[in-house]
Order: sequence, then structure tokens, then C-alpha cells
Amino acid sequence: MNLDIVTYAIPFLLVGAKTTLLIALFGIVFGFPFGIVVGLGRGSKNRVLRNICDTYCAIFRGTPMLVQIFVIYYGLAQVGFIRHNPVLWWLIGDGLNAAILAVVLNTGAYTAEIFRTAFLSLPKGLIEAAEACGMSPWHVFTRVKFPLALRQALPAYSSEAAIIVKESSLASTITVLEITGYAKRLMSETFAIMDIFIITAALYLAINVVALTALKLLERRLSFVR
Amino acid sequence: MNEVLKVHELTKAFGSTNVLDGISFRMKEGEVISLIGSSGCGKSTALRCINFLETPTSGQIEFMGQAISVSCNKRGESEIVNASYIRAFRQRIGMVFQNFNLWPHRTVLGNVTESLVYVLKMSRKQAEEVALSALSKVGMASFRDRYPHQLSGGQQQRVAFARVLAMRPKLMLCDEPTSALDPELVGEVLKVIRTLAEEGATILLVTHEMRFARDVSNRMIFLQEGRLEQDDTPEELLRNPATEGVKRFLSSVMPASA
Amino acid sequence: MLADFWILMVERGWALALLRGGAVTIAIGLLGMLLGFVVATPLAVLRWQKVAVVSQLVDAYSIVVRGVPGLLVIYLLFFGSVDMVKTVATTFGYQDSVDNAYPYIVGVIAIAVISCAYSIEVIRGALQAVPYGLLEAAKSLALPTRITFSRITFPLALRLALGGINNVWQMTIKDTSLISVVGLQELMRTAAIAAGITRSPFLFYCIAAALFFGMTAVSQTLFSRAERALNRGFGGR
Repeated sequence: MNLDIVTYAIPFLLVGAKTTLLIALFGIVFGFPFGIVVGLGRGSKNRVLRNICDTYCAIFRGTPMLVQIFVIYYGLAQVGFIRHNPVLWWLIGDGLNAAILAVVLNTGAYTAEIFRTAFLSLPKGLIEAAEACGMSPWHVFTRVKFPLALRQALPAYSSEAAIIVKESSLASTITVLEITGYAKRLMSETFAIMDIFIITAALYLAINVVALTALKLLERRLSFVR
Repeated sequence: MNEVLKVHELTKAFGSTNVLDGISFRMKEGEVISLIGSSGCGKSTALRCINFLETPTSGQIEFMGQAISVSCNKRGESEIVNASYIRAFRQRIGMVFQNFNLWPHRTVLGNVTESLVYVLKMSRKQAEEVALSALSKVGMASFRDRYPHQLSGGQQQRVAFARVLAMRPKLMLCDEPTSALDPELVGEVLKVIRTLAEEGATILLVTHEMRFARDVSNRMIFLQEGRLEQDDTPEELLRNPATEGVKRFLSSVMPASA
Repeated sequence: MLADFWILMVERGWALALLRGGAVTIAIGLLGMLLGFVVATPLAVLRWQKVAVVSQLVDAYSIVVRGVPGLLVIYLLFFGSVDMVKTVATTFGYQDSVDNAYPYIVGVIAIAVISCAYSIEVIRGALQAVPYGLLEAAKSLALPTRITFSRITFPLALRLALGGINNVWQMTIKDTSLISVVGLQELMRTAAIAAGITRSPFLFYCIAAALFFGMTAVSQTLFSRAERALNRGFGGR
């Protein structure tokens, strides 16, 4: 490996890493609660709400993230109503904001699926036991259902978090330079394709290791068996 | 009568614990022997060592005049002499498992023909004939096209017996064949074993059904903590327990007959 | 409005272009998935058997590819192979034909490289999930190892893997869109060109989304059916 290229590339990639982390962080912070809410909506007794949530999940899980990000950034910018609404325009007019929005909407759909199955897999007896001792529905939810579903969902959410980090790379297709964006630029600049790939991959793997370790620790903290 | 099986100084260690500690016994053709003892005493391991599903740590298994012996080398690894006999052993030794282990993607008939075609090299047609006669022996011929999951546990175990019988084994190893069954299904499987025993099959049986074992066996072998404590006829073993261990075991499993 | 749409789609021919793009997407997805699967199967078996060195290499490959964005893998393969392919082609005088076919070939390979890593994990997991007792039963009947693998282990693992294979396929068909960034004219690239020329990105990206959605929905249905057909013998599964 050429040391000059390494020392040249790393500062750029670290700048990109900041953007990657920013997008991923927003993706998790907003996408996680949003996904839970949608997941609950899919299990709701209200048919309209259920259908809306189901449709949203089907669309975002059934189409490539690249299409989603293009529709949001290039497509919606064409719609007059959005252009003239300052809040909406702020949201999608800026590449970084649009990328974050796309990531949140995308991970929201997958997170909703994770939580829907988690809620479905709860043993009936445990919920009946809570109801039998006179808990209100709210308490049954906050004290029994949610804590159990969270533990059930966490392992699957860990891989979703790793996917968020990877999907954030699509921001580079709408002019936001994050790790992959810089990597592409460096590859065409230096022609040291393999060297750049190795450094970039190492960076991604490092981010993944940190994220997965954090979630593993959380999982262990929440686990009953220590 | 011919001697079918000679087990000599069979030892099996997992780590530092000896699950089997130098067990020896012999079986003649047509004999039914029950291995008894409390759970964890090494009965199943002994059975699994005989057809080498489990590799013994040391000892010798002689079957139909061929011997495979295992010794422990200096590094603590098992060395098998005549390992090439293992497949020949398995061809003539049938094994019935506690959980049936029927292949879920094959029909009842397919489960039985598989080894006939690929081990005994029969033609498909011939294999099906042999399989059907084995299946009718256990009363399952009319279920030939069902899949295992469509059968009750007792029926599955009967198919498992047919799968073994079709190979015309010289020795059958039965590893707790009724333990996974609902109580009302135990009878049909015991009936199959009883019929086979009466027809002169050589059966080595691990079971918790003490009354059945007493009725059907020529000999009972009691194991405790990997050691063979008594090897006698059922009458003798029940009347004169050789050790405290046998006595305690018998009074806990069949207090009424004590 | 409807008339505009008609002119755009039929008279200007964008509908046909999009359909052609969709066909390219499906072709690349299928070929990539197939190639990936064919390579993944022996690798997964070696990994399952814990063959020394090979296992570690397979693991390393799988971890790296699954840990980095697909886009990065695609950049690596495209930029990394341009010079090599050009040199080879020029030497043998096939410059033109290679220039045309090149992106497709590398596109298929890139998709295969990505889907292969995921397929390895799916197949290995399925092989490990085959109940050990079923293999012991085969052993106790003296079935040769090769027969046990081809008639018991592998068919059972394949059924167990079907759900996972479906997931990999869904992911793969969506990943083909990434190839558009290096200029391959599949569905996404066609939509982008149409969006640029007609200045209606919203319309064309939505159509692309709808076509992708159609593909994933249809394959989902087909897979569910295949799963039901193959899962005879598995009872409630």
C-alpha cells in the first residue's frame, strides 16, 4: 500500500465520516421511534390507520432506497406547493436534509416491520396475566408489552442500524459528500482504487463495530439473564 | 447360538468425566437385552458407541466376528483400529431413535427405501417391495404416501422401525423408543418391539418402561455412573439386586413389584 | 394532463424505454443473483464444514462485503476493472464490442459479488439448522456421506433457506438500481435520463418506483408459492 495515498486520503474520508455519522445518527434517533409508532399503527384496530401504515411500509420496503432519495430530492422539488412552503422546502431543498429525510422514512418502514413482528410474538399469557391483575391498557402497554417487545426487537434492530450506516452512502448521489462520495472522488483522482477501497471499508467496519457493540451492550443491559 | 456382539472395556470420557467406565458384555443371536439405570448413567451413550455415532475413548466392539478397537494415544486422542468396518457395522446394525428422526421431506415409503437403494443398491422397484413388506409388518403400509408430519408420534416411530427392519439388521439398537410419545401411543410401539422379540430379533434396548423390559428381555444390564453394576436375567435382577444402587433404582421405578 | 402523459409516454417513446430498462434490471438481477448463488453454495459448504483457511477467507469476504455500502463495491469493481478490460480488449482488437458489453458484464459481477456474500450466510445458516438427529439417522443406516449430503442435508437446507433466499433476491433486485450510478442503462438510469430531458423528475422517478415495486411484489408472490410447494413434509411451517 502506498503510504502517501493513505495520508492523503484519510483526512478527506474522516470529513466524510462526519457526514455519514450525522445522517446515521438522525436516522436512528428519528427512525427508531417513528418505526415503533408505525409498527403499532399496523397492529391498530382502526382500519384506516392500519391500511395507511401497511401501504407506507410496503412502498418503502418494496422499492430501492435510490429511487426514494431521487423522488424526494429531485421529484418533490418540482412540486410547486412544496417549493413555496418554507418548511417543506428547507426539508427537501437541501441535499443533506433530503438525505436524512429519505433515510428516516426508509429505516422507519423496516423498523416498523421489526416491531410489528416483535409485538405479534409476545406470549399471550403474559398479557393476559397483566390484564387479569387489573392493569389499564396503557399500563399493560408501557409496563409489559413494550418492554418485552423491545427486548425481542433489539437483535434485529442491530442489523437495521448497520444497514442505516450503509444506506447513508446514497446521500453521495444527491451531491452530499459522505464517506463513499469522497471514496469515489479519491478513486478517480488517485487511481489507487484498491488502496482507497481498503481504507474506506476499514472505516465502515469500524463504525459498524462501534454501533453493534453499543447495541449489544444495550441488549445485555436489558436482558434478564446476566 | 452365535455371538452377535461383544463389547469389551468400553470407555467414553467427555472432558475429565467418564460417562462410560469400562463396560463389557456379550449378546447372542436372538437375545433381547435392556439397558437400565437412572438418567445420565450412560445407557444412551453406550448404545451410540456401538454403531460409532459416538466415538468411544477406548475399548473394543466386536460385531459378527469383526472387531473395531479404540485406544487412547499419548496426546489423549482416540485412535480407531479398523475404522473402515464402521460402515459395515452400521449396515447390519439398525438404530431407532427417541425422536424418530424420520426425514421430513420424504414420504413414509421414501424414508424406508432410501437406504435400500443407496446402501444395499437395490433397484427402486425391488426397494419398494422390501419397504412395503417392512411397513406392513409394523402396520403402516397403508400410510406409504404420507409425510412424517401427517402421522402421530407412535406411527412415526413404527415407520422408523420399518426403516431399520427393511435393512434386515443382525442387531437392533433402540434408544428410548417410547420416551417422546404421549402415554396413549406407547402401547403400539411396544407391541412392535414385542413382536420382533418373539420372532427372534436381537435387540439392545434402552428404556424406562421397566415392566415391559422385564417381560420382553432375556437379560437386563444395570448401569450407574458409567459402570456396569449388574448383568442378569430380569427375574434374578429384580429378586436379588447385586448392589445398593440397583436396589435403590428398582424401588424408585417400580415400588409395587418390590 | 392525460393527453400530455400520452404524448410523453407513447409518442416520445418513454414507456418503451422504461420497459426496456426494467427488462435490463431484471436480467442483471437474475444473472447476478444466480451467479452469486452458484458461487456461494460451495463456499457456504466449506464454511459450514469449517475447512481451515478457506473458512476464514470466506468469513472475511462476507464480513467486508456485507459491512460496506453496495455503492462502494460497485465503484471498486468498475474503476478497478476499467483499465484492465481496456488493455485486454485493445490487445485482442475487440475494443468496440467490449466497450458496449463491458458495463453489463461488470454490473452482473458486482451484483453477484454483493448477493453472494448474503447467500453464503443464508445457506450456511440453513445447513446448520438441519436437525442433527436426521443426519445421525442417515449415518446409522450406513448411507454414504455424499448421498447423505445430496439427498438429506442439502434438500432440507434448501427448504430452510428459501425464506432467506427470498430476502437476498428482494435486496438484489433493489441493489441493481445502484449500477445506474456508473452509467449502465437499466431502469433507474433510463428514468434519470427521461427526467432530465423532459424535466419531469417527479413523474419518472415515481414510475421507476412503481416498476420496482411491481417486480418485488411479483417475486414475493412467486416465492411464497414456491415455499408452500416445497414445504410439504414440514407441517405447519
